[in-house]
Amino acid sequence: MKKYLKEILFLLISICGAFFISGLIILFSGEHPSEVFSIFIEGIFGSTEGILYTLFFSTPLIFTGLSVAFALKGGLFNIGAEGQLYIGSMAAAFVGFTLVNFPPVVLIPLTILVSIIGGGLWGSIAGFLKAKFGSHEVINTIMLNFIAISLVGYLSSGPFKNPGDQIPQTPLISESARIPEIHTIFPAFPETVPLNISFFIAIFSAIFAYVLLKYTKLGYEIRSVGFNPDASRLSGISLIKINLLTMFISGAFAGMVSINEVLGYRYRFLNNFSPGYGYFGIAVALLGKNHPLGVIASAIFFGAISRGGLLVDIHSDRISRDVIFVIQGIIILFVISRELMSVIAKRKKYTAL
Amino acid sequence: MKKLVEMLNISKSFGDVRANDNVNLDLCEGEIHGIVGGNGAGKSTLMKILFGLLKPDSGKIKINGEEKRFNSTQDAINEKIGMVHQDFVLVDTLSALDNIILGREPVKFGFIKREDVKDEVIRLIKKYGLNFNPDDMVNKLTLGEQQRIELIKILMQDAKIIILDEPTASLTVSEVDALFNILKKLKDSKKSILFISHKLPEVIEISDRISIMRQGKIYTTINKNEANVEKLTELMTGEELKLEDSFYLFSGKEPVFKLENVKLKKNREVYLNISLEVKEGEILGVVGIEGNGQKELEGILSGFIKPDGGKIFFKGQCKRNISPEWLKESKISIIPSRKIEDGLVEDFTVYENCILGRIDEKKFSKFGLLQKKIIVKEAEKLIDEFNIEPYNPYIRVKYLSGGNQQKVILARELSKNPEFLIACNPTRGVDIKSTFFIRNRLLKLKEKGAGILLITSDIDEAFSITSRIAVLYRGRITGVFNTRETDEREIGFMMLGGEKRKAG
Ligand SMILES: Nc1ncnc2c1ncn2[C@@H]1O[C@H](COP(=O)(O)OP(=O)(O)O)[C@@H](O)[C@H]1O
Ligand SMILES: [Mg+2]
Repeated sequence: MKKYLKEILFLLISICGAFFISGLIILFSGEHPSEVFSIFIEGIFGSTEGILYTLFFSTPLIFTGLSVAFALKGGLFNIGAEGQLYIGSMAAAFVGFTLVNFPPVVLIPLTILVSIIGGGLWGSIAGFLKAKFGSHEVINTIMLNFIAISLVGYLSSGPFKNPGDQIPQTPLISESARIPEIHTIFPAFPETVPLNISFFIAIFSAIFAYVLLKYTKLGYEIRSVGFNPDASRLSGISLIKINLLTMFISGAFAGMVSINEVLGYRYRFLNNFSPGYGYFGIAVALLGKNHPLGVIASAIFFGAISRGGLLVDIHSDRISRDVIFVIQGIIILFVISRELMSVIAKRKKYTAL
Repeated sequence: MKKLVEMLNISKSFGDVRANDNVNLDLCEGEIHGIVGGNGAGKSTLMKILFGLLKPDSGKIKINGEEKRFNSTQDAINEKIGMVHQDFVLVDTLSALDNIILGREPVKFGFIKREDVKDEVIRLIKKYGLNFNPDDMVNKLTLGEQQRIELIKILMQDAKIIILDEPTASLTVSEVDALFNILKKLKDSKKSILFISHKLPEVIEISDRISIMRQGKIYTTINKNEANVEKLTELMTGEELKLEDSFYLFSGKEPVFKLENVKLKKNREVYLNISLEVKEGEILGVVGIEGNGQKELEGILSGFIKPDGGKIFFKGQCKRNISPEWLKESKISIIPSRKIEDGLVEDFTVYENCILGRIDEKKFSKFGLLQKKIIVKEAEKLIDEFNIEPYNPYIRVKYLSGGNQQKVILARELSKNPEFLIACNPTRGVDIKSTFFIRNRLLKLKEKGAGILLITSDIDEAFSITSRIAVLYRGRITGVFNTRETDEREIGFMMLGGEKRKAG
């Protein structure tokens, strides 16, 4: 219990620190920090809309946070969620605008499955390279990001481009591939918010990851390899198999970003749609202490910052977008500083061996 | 005799651990005072206090009857105290002489005259029979010779009180003999020595008086003529420890495991070529000085290194190389020498570690779900049977002491009911009580008919439990002896590259 209190205290202190420095930056930009902060806070908590928007923004982050956290449990640092989510999204969009005559009961599960497999396979390439040749997954996943981004860029501006559009994007997916927005289920919620049922799928995925890691044999083996690959190997666990599976599952979570972005929001693949969800996933996982359920909380926190930042952007003339990014960056740095330190320390110890 | 050093009521705690608890110790001029005690008894702590490396929480140190306070090692050095640490470090790529010069305090105004130092070093080498060439690179010297470099550093500071913390821990028999000759000469020239070890026969041999430490206390101090191994063991552990009786019995049945010219090459040169066989119901010891191929042999046997040739037989089945998967299928157990790195998942709990490598057994998972209750029950059974402390399957293995960690590995590997066991230094770094326990379990397994290959750098261990001893020298087995037909001298001679004199 004491441990948790300490964690929360630390978090509060870092948030205060972040607000203090942000306050200074706002002051320099010529605005009143108190006003800006109240817009920020109100934007998040002030209305049902604000809260639902926060959840909407957090949905892709839950997926990418899970992706990074899961790989880390298996001892792998997945920087490649960005590429994996693009591949998964393109795969989902392709199925969605191609198989237009399928009924929803078939098409929705199918598109979700394709996005899982797409992201998963893209992730497992890095797992395979690591297990087979020992090439470092950080480098591999970064390289695979470049490849994935170029690939989907080519597809969305070439063969799969919606004819006649000015921007690189695919045609809309079939109506029967789209998942419902939240207000269709809870009519009391405002129609303006694009929050859709992918949020619940994200929560479910986190629970799934938790159960998988904690209660299954595969989870045991993944954690074992994550903690100590040598001892695991000697005990007869196949590192190739486990590295592959870990990266498949990790990539699959990243691929599932498409459920929100393609099936639930844009209804198509738009090139460069991700503002860096994959990279944010690293911070989300760190703040969530790599725990699948911690990832949910941490993703919602990051979602809130996005939402608040958006409102400040709309309401204030003097504070430019860039300043908001800087402030968001400062908040993130503050809250994850400790986790970052411990990860760096661990990796140092690891490479020193 | 005059008391040169007196340590009075010394206490020192690290957190909850009372490393030294009201300890009294004295040292006379020209005396060798042995200190024995299990791992963690507090020997090193006490010595570090005397050498000014640690400050005691309470207690006094008197030198020549005068109370002294040591705020740093320099204060201790000024009182003519010198210490050779348990794990001293030299610069590998420099010569012995340069290492000695490095260790000296800077001389005021001007440079150290290399030739002067060298003359002094040569004089000391001659005087005490230290016997090495000061111009040799450190990495060319044996561990025993490197230790002598440390000794010279101390002697050049004109130390009269010399602390040796476990100096024999990794020496060969003949190097121990050489060290003892040096110690006797030091003693003759009125130096006083504190000699720490947990190898009892040698402590009895070299010491004038022996102090027994246990759980931070000096239990008693006895004279050499009152001491014998049994008595010291009992005093050290508080109970009588002995090995099961049947150790020399030798079944002489079929080989269960065999290596035939298993080779490793580097730059086309064969640097490892091993043939040996282990019979059912025997423990074959492979002994040798560290660095003669033990690591490579272990690597091949555990499947981490692929050999460049040769055959491996297990129960008649022939293989070219070993994989961990194959070991698992064949029910071959292995106790790796690096227990934390290769044998345990430190961040796992005891119960999780107990099923490492056994996770595929049907009872431990159903439809891919772990059967936690059954696993914990199994772990509790092993904790019980192997006296693993604390009795808690949920504790993380990294919080256990070294001896208990080793027991977790042993418990797990034996619970696989192996027909063949590879044990690499199974008792290194383990206290005497656990050592006896582990050796007895190996004997028991052997009794059940399993073959055991024991790779060890501890000759005592080989002599106490093996049926046969094979000597590993420069990557080859240079001789195999029936344990009861050889002695430590012969094995020590072989370990240094001696030729085999009689058939084994
Ligand atoms: N620097 C330290 N910090 C915490 N505990 C220590 C430290 N040094 C020694 N100890 C503890 O003190 C006890 C005595 O250790 P030590 O003097 O090294 O024993 P010995 O040399 O007899 O094996 C052990 O329980 C050990 O874990
Ligand atoms: Mg010690």
